[in-house]
Amino acid sequence: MKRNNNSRIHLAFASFRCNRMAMLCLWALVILYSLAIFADFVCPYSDRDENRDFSYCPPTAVEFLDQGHLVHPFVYGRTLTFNAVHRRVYVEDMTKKYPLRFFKEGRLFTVDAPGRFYLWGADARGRDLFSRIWYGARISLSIGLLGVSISFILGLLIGGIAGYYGGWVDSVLMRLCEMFMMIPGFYLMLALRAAVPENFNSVQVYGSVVVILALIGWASLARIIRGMVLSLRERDFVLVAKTMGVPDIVIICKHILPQTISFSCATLMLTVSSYILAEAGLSVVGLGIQDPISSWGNLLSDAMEIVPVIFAPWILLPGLFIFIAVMSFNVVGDALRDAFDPMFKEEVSV
Amino acid sequence: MNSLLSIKNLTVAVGAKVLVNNVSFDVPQGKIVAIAGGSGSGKTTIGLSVLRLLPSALSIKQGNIVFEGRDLLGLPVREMQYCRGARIGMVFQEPLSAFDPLFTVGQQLDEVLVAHTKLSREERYKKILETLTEVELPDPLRAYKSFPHQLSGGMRQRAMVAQAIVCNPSLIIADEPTSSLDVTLQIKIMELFARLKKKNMSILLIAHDLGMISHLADDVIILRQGEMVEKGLVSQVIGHPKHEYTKRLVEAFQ
Amino acid sequence: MSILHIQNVSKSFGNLRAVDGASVSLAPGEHLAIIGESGCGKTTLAKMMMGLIKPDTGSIKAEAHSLQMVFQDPYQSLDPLWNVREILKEALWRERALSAAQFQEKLEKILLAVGLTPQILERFPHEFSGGERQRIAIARALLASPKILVLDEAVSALDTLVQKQIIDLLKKLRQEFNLTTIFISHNLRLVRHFSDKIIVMYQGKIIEEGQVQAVLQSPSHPYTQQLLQAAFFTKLSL
Repeated sequence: MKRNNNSRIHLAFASFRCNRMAMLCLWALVILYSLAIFADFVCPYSDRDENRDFSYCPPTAVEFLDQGHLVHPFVYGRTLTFNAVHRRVYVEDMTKKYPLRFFKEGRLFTVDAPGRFYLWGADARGRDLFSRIWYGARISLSIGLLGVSISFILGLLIGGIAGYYGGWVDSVLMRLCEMFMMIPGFYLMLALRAAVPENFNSVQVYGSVVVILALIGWASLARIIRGMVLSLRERDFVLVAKTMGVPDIVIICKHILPQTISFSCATLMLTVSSYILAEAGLSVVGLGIQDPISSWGNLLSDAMEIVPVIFAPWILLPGLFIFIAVMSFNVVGDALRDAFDPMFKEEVSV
Repeated sequence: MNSLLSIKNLTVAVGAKVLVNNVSFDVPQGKIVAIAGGSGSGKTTIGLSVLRLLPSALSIKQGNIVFEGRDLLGLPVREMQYCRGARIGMVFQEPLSAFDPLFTVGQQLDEVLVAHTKLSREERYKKILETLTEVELPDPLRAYKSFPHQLSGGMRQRAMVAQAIVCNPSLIIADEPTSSLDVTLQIKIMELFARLKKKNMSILLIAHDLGMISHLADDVIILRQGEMVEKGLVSQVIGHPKHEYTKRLVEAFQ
Repeated sequence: MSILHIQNVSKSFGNLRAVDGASVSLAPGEHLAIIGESGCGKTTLAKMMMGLIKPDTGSIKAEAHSLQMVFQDPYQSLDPLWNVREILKEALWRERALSAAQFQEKLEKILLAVGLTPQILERFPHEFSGGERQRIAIARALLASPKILVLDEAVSALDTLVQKQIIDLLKKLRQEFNLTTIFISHNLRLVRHFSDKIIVMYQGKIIEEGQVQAVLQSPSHPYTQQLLQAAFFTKLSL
């Protein structure tokens, strides 16, 4: 039997593919996540590899010419000196050349010790920012996804059940939603974080942050889903299913909730982006992921003082990637909603 | 021929698919001309083409639409906007979606008058009440103050006709004006159209109900999948149908 | 021996009395028509027959699962995200233990019976015209093996030519499947050749009841006379 690619879902994805900006952002996300997943391979150093001799070392230039001849790429050594006003200055030492090694020790590119290759500069402890950004990406990008999967399922089920049954079930569940929505998000997040025990290790802290994010996000989704379900449950095809003896929970999951897909997809993307920002917010004030593990948020906490920012501006780079990730999720979310929407327009009569 | 509206060789397509193929007909002053056909016949597309309100995906490939001596397809946008409402009124099938739910009926009729006339506030108010009375709304003052959802289906449809005629247009395009109504209300709307015709207003009636067409219209055009199958006087086409399709339609209405 | 017995049924929504003391009894093979305009309570009565709404007073007696309904709007009664196969299989929910081959056989048979082909099983509702969708809806109703088929304005949203086709189809099917039909409409003309018994509803009450031919010849209630006049006014008069 020939596969029918005419379902509404297929048509929606076809329409999504025509949206250039959205496809661009989708690729940006794919690249970000790939770099995060393959950080062990792509990054020259681990996220903890420090060397205080190279504190705030500027980005290392890759040299291709040696006295005019094209050679295998290499970097010069650096020595730390202090200038007249006691500022750090790194001077290139032309006598020490460290060729770039590719695919050594399972890493895409690296240099032999004691040379250091800082593609995007170093932080206060001489750790490679490039590596810390991509190891940090693992935290920042995954926390959003995990948080969203919990809050999304919670929001869909609670909203779906409240909308479908109405009556006291609806009242109780909506009052619960409102309790969560009443408290401003950031303060709720701080309060929940304060409830987490002091002696949690980093993995447990990570888990608690995921749960905290999920708890602040599910309520607004639930309310909107409930509104949509209230009108969807009167549709004829739902009544038909009831007369056929299909149980309520099956009707909710297979008839009603799929109709909310256009709104749900867009909200899913927007929620991920808000969770990325929320985690960054928590970590910047020191309540999220702790050093030595990097996340984009806690990398930015280094950039909260004016002196490092002026003299080592590369420490702001994590902010750029937060921006790219959040923007991309938003654009993809909007595009998905647009792609699905024509689905719900009435047929144009001819 | 001094017709009010004259359509020649109209062809409308969406991409490669042709929705209306080389259709030509006239609407004389003070007559009701009906376009009959099933769904997919292109009848709504013709109505929208006259008003140049086609969805962006559709395009007019060829044809002339001459109204009151002017070619509508070549008209600049400002003049076309004046035409719509002031010279040509449109009545849609579903009155609930044609009215803005946030404004009263009176406010929406006022909007039309403000856009196309220079009448003062009192004059507009008088004119609106006159029009609401003309369409035989039982309580015109109450209808003026009501929101669309507060009126019954039949009253809403009459309010929509009021909106179409408030500026005294010479042509009304009515697209399935009675399809969403009960049978007794259909008769009321048909009587209303007959009265408008007596006032020398022309009506282009788009419908699939041959019964209503046989009572109301003077001329009829039978459309099938974009092609004009038969056209002429109602008594001729419905009384002595020549084309196979027309015969089937007439039979279905016995 | 009646297959449907409605006794003094009433239903109110807040202040509105949608159905007021309705009683009707149906024998097997006695095709009923319920005529009335919008707001007369006929759809509420139909939903109560189907068990979707519970009456406030009175009783409705019918064999369990013996009624199936075809709705008015072919664009709303089929889930747009499901393909035809899934839509039809839902009707067999109570028999869902059947094997895939048995399902396939039943689906193919019913599609042929309503004048469609088995090739459409993988297609989606938006690929079909109004008339075809209504056939799918009828096929779905028949798959649930009902004894009574309720048609709630089932042809009102269709073009006249298509209306005639569907009504002819329904006549054929009710013979083939031994069904009793309840045809709900506001148009008396449609039921003239379709139903045996007729009840006319107005503001929730049944105001006239009788054999179709008798009521159409000489209606007793003034409202029925009005409906009759309206229905045949729009008949071709040349």
